[in-house]
Amino acid sequence: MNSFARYSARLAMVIVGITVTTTTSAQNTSTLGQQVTTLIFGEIDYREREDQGDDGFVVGQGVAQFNVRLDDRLSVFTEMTATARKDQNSKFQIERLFVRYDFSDQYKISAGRYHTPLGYWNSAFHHGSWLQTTVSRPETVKFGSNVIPVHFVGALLEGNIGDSDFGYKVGYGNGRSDKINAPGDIGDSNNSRAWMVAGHYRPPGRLGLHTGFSFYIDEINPEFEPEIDEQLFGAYLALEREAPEVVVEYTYANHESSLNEGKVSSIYGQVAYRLTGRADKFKPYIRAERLDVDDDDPLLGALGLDYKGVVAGTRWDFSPFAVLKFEIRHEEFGNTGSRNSFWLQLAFVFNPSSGSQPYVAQAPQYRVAASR
Amino acid sequence: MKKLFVIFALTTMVFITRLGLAEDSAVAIVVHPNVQVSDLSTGQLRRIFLADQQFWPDKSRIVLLVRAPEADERKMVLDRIYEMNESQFRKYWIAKIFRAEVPALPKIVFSSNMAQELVTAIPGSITFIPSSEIDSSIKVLSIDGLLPDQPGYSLH
Repeated sequence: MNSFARYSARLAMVIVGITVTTTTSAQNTSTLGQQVTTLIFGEIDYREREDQGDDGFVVGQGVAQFNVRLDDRLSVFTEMTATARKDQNSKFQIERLFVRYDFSDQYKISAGRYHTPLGYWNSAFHHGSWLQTTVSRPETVKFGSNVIPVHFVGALLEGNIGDSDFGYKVGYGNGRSDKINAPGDIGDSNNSRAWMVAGHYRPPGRLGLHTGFSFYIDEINPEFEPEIDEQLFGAYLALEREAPEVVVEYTYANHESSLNEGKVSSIYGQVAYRLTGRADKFKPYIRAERLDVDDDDPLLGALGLDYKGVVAGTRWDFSPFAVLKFEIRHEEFGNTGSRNSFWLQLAFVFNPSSGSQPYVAQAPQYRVAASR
Repeated sequence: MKKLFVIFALTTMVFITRLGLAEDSAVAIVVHPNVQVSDLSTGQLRRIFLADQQFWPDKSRIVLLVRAPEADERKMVLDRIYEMNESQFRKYWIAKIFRAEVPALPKIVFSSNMAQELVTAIPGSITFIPSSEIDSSIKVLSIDGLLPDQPGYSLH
């Protein structure tokens, strides 16, 4: 069996398994009992890149997530991914797994593995390629990024501040492992926990304003390197709407070891605009990004991560649950020079437990009542 | 000719009936009888329907019931409360689940009768129903101090 067939078979097993679980649970749901909400995201890409091999069609990441409401306050959230790899072995990974208890709107406490709530993109889109307007993620928050700790294992307290439109998150966990782009899944490698604090403001309304900041502190022991203190700060402003959609995100990092000190700064701005009338299924976009890493930075300086890039494209929502995106990129990498590329992405989402309406759940109580 | 006349008459009656409904009907916000709230501001209503507020003041969980697409009252609620179209509404809830900001999606209801039956059966539930179809046993909330039959009510 070749790698694609093996990948497809295993992804299908994951999806079917989750679907069966979901369906079974839904059938057994009693009033306000356990309730499972499942979302499946997937993508197929096509790429043409200057001076690169392996162009052509690419089986993108398959994502299965399900949210189980155990009772009125307790829920479990799980997200698993299947990623095709060049070495013919698909990679299956638990991306998120946490248990949360909601005391109230102001206090929700959870423990597990998360997308680190640093900045905007990492939490807002992450593996949901259907959700994000563009094909690509910003370089700073791309999968496997070394710039920010993309995942976080620990505990999180979050909620609204009073009855206002402000919210907060406070996290305490393992931080980066000795492999710096991975979290400490099985303990904190240097026994020094990471702390993070984030705040946001998101008033309801047509403007779709969402703005916030985050602060993250950790002590890292990378492989073959001395201990490094890391402080990360992020701030963002987003207009979560269609015309225009705007995202601006800034990240600043300071790394300090006994030998030297360095800074990292990154900013990107993205604007998209949903067309009107007969063209309303199309949403052109453009994003510009810059990532600067000090050569002396003890954590990232030797990795050649400097980056400048512009991506432009169009998202075509040809179906309520599937999109086709066309994207061109001009990128300059600190270690490999500049490159132009062209990308197509077919991204979709579905909810196996409620047919073609992933935004509405079934009402099992009504079926119970009607059957009496 | 007679057949044509009958079709014309029936079509006209349906059109007039629909016009009448559209003009007269306000959308009422209704809750489970045990919910200890009788009035909401427009801002509170938005926060509840957007699931930014998921608990009532007595700390019980809010259960949101939403009418299926195509119903006139759904269109009004999407326009006035969510300030979204169907596509934005769909994306909003998928994103909400994806970001784990809600433990479950709203429950869909397919008729006003079903909405009334569920809202009286599920503790903490809230939904919207055309005021002309409300049963007298249903608890109706005022919005900004006004009930659906009062002048100035916002969900007309």
